[in-house]
Amino acid sequence: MIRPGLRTILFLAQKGFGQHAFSSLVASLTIALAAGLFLSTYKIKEEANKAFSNASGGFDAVLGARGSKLQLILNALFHLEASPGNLSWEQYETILKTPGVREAFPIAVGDNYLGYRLVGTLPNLFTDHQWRPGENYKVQKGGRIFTDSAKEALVGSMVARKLNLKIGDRFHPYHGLTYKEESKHSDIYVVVGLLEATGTPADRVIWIPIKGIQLMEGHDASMAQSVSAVLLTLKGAAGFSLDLKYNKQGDRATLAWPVASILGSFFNKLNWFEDVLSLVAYMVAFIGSMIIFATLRSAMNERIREFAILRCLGASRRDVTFVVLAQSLMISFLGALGSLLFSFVIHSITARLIREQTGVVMEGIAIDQATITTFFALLLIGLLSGLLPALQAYRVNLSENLKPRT
Amino acid sequence: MLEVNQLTKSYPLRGKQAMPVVQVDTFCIQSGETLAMYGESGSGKTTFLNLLAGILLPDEGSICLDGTELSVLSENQRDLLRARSIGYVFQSFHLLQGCTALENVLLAMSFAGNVEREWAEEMITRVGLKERMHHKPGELSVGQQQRVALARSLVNRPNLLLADEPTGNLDPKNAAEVLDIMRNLCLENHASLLLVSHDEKIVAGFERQIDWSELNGANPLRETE
Repeated sequence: MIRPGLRTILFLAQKGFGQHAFSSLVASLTIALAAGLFLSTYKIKEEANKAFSNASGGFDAVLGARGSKLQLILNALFHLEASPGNLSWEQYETILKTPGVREAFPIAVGDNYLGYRLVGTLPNLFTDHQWRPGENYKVQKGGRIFTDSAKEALVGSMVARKLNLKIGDRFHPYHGLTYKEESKHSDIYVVVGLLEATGTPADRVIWIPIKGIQLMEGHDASMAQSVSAVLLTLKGAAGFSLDLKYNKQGDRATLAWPVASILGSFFNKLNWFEDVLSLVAYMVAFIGSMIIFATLRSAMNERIREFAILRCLGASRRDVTFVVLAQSLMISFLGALGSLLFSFVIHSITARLIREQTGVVMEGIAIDQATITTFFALLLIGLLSGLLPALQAYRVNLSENLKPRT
Repeated sequence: MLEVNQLTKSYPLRGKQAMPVVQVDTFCIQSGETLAMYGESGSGKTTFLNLLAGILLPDEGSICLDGTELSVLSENQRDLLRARSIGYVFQSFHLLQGCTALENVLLAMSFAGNVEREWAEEMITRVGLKERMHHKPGELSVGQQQRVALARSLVNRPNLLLADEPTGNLDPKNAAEVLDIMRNLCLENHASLLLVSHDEKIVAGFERQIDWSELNGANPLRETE
């Protein structure tokens, strides 16, 4: 028979935890915060990278004014940032006819409605283009796609929900990409359709005919023949030849290609931030382990007599050592569980913020290798923090500690 | 049942020769026998009990409990022997403050590898604490705490019960009650009892009495003077 049994060890460890509940919980909480911060930072970066790469709306490249490729992508595909400039309508027609270009959709930006961007484009974007392989945009029941020459709007699902827009609603656009009450245009647009959610930035814009932006009352006349960018899908290796033509030999436009690679390099630039947060997390984890150590150590001063009593009752050195290690494991186990909860909360909040700000939907948090590794690393930290106090319990002097206290 | 021969134990003193604390030529207790030992505080009685319990190892000599020589056992084997065959009651009870009376008793059983909840409850009932078995030591009077300690020491049906000043912290009424319970339970369990006290009244109630100063060849009190 195994003596005294795991149950007794756990019982005594749990009693020890309960007797020093406050400091034990503080130690667990510290570990939970540290590891939660570390896990959530790591996962958010991974997930955001993946989500943004998948949220390019099915486009391989973006052609825009000469400037930053990243700014071009953020502006044209994610509807963030300002447009780096305009292209002429001729440039759009040229790229449309270029061999190797499967699809080319011009977009024009520059107006908003209550802070949500109006993006002008051609109606065939919604009929021909697949925003994900095999998936075309779908208009909610009762609606339709705008016609090219009318002042009609097709509203992204998030905008419709946030602004409670319905088919038949009318609105005045506002000039600029940010909402200013005094910059209202006199044009009136009518909502003719609402898009089904796609989990891409298309959900958070209001789509109108490109002529609508070009010819909006108050706009510069030069805008009538210009576009902000052209969204492209390419055939085979056309990207290489277009890259050569526009980026290396040309000086009038920029081709942002390949989209995933440019976004990846953007996330790599954020590595320093991850490093700083990781360093902070390591430091907090170190402090957490020190708190476990201090908690057990100070508890040992009170528990040493208890261990002597247990030894006198027949507990072996191994038994009392395991009690301390089990208590240490309990603290770190709670901390590890807390870290999962904490990272889940941070992930959920961040995912919601990213969705609100960009329309990009991040996947839910999943138990992956990093989570499992962190979980067991925390248990190991707990175990290591408990080693010295456990050794103290192992070496307890029975006869000295059983003397009556005066 | 218990035989002691040529037993010596010394404690090292800084910068001096080791101080002999226990020096017992022969000593024995028969099965079921109850005896009291008296002597001055600090004269080595507790050390002697700790040697008998296997908590301390002697410098020389032998302690044989039911045919088992303690000094040849490993520490783990001595721990197990103590759990199963020796009960120990202390002046200051030594109960685990975070555990209830019942849990204190059950823990002693778990170290002996034989947990029987009904028997633990029965032992607590026998010491008169049926209604208080789920109370923690801090919620019990000192007399009740010593009764819990008594139940704990006898729950594994040991062959030998060692009691070191078990009534030292109790008032006369509680002391008499605890003593009665202790002797009766030892009688029921056929356990031998070796009680150590410096209180002559307590010792006077025992048929066999031993003067520690006569039994112990060493005199640590004289050495320290």
